[in-house]
Amino acid sequence: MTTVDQAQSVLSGIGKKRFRFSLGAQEAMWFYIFVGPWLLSFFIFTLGPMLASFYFSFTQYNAIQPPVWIGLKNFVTLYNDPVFWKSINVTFTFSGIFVPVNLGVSLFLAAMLNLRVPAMRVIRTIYYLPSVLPEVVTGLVWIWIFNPDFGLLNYILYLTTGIKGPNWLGSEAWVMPAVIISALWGMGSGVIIFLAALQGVPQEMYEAAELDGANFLHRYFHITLPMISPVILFNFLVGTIGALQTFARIYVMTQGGPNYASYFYNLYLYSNAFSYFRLGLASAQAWILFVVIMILTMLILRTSGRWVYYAGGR
Amino acid sequence: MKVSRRDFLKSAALMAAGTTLAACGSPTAAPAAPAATQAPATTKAPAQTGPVTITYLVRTDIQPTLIKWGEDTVAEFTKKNPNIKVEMIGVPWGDYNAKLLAMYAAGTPPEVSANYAAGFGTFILNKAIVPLDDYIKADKVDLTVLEQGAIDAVTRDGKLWALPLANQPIVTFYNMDLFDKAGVKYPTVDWADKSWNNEAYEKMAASLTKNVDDPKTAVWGGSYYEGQLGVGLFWRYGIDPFNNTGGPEKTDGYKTGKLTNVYYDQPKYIEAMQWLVDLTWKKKVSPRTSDTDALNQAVGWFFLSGRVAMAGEGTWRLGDIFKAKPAWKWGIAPLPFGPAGTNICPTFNDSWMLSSKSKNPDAGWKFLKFVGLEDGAKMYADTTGFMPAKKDLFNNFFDSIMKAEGFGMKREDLVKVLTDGFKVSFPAPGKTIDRFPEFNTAYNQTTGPIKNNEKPVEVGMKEVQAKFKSLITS
Repeated sequence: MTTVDQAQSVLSGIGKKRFRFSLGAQEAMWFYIFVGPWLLSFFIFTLGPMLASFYFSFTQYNAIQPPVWIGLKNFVTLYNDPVFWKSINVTFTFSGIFVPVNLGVSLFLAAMLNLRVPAMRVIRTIYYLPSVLPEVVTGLVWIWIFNPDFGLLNYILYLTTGIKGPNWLGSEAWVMPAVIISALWGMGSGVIIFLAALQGVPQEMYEAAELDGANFLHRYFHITLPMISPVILFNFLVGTIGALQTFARIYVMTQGGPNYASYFYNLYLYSNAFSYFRLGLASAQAWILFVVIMILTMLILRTSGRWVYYAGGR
Repeated sequence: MKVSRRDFLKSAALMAAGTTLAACGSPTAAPAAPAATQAPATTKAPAQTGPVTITYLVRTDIQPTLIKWGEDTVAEFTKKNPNIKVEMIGVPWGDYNAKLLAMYAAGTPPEVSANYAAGFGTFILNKAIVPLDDYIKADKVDLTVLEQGAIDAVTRDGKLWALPLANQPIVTFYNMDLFDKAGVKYPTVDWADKSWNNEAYEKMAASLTKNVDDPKTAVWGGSYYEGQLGVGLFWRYGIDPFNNTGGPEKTDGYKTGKLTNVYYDQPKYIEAMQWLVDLTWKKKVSPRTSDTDALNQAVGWFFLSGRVAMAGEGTWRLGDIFKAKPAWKWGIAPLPFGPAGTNICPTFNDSWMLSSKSKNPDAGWKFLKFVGLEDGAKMYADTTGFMPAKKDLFNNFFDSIMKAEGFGMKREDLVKVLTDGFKVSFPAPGKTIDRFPEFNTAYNQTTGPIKNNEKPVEVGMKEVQAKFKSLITS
């Protein structure tokens, strides 16, 4: 290219204005490109099925034939179904006992694991380990532990107290305590969160309180608990939602028996959907559970203002 | 060229968005399927000209031989039918229904599936399968080669809804070593021998039982066959829970699929259940549910522990014995007669069905025929331990048992027990009634406390009755 040509090409560019997006528009464009895949996945794999199940809850649908609109009939059927109410009773009884016990024991364990003693890392790992095991596997182990004749629990009970233990999973009276005990096995994740929160409480607060003459209980109730209360709220919320959705452990351990004594809500939902070919009814059940969880979550969050302390304000 | 972190992130986001959109788009690059493969599912689809793909949902639990059989069958079929590609999907028995429904919901039902968990009645009720009569007629299939009981069990309203591959009777498995140790004579091989009855069973079990108070060393005399919805027990008392005039032949529901009444709280049913409960809790000759659960968990099937002398079970358990190769001798005997002088043998047919939503019904039928009547059926009889429905394959099945580790009977006795059972057989309700899974759950839930001795039989049976009544009327 000659010098003249170069000069011409430079001159030809003069006067043409290159279009550019404004900085704000560029940021917005990149924002949508970044969140696009996730938004798309959310619409397709979460919101879409949710809306579909909302529609199915008003239909008679068996996954084989097209759904037939039946209005509120599924909800009326559930209202008149004793097994539905039994499953609600079982699920709420479990949640009502398990969630507070789980919170209390997790907090206690976290406090213990916060002590400075040798080999603490190993001990913490041991306590956390059950949480990473699949519920199906731990469920199978618990079946063996609870076996009235061959099981570890009754064996230890007999050795230490001379008491012949009950038929844990075969008794209407004992199956719920057994399920609660087995569920507590997986408290490791809650413990770790509490432990992290405990370690985040500033030491100078304790030192200042000690100088003011505060004893252990004063320090615990007036510094530790308020400081970790947001984490208590988190574990309480997550624990409640998880307890109301209990499924895998029960599916493996008891299949809801005996005599529906451990027939959890989600087990009934699963049976209606995948054993009895009643996907419309199961969708109605799913929406009832969704609404119940929403209301409970809102109630917990509403009341949390009275007992949760945020150091930096809300 | 230097790439800034911002540029890198932008490129990554663009690639992720592109990949997601590509995944959501239609697979335009895929070759167009021949028009014939897009035909709607009818029993009489147009002739298929090009290569087609069919899906085959097979059960994979119980024993590894079943998976191998499935794979070998597909390989052999593909060799003979290169224009049909078979995709085999393996799923355990417990998840079979869920998987099947999920496939229907996704619009990709398997062309060929089995009536394992829900029986074929539930599939007819939900219009999931088509009758096979047109195909049978067009291909001039001779159904007399199949065991008649198996054919009857999958026939409703004069239509054949599935092709039976296996037809399995319930028998009494027994541990010969435990009998020898206790000096007890083996049970008869004759289904007509009335001296082999509940009373004799109870006495024999008592002689075989040892150390029941010590679960670590206990040997239990026998686990009596109760069966689905209790019919294994009740039929031998001359009663059926769904009629009040006699045995299963009096229940119309087994033919129509619809149960109309139930009688669990009547004195005869209470008497029968009381006898069963007493075997465990009063006479202490049968293991408790918790014992069998523990042994099942340990060895797959409690009988294989070598600590239960007799076990009433279906012949599908032979596969488990083949796999376990017990170090002790074992045999099989008929079911004992009940107080009514009957020993009706419940039979379980495993039959293969053709989906009503199949995109390639003709290819599906071809494969179904291969599985049920041709080479697939032969391989099944040779290897799986499941009793075939095809009569000319009985000998292959008997041969496989004769070769099994520890089997201690003469061939003619084996043949007698397995073939004579069909003379007194009746299809199990799980294979014939509609909504069986619901009834089954209700029975298992409500009878649990009775069998665990947590509830008096009379009280418990009233609860069973109430639950069934509400299910029937719902």
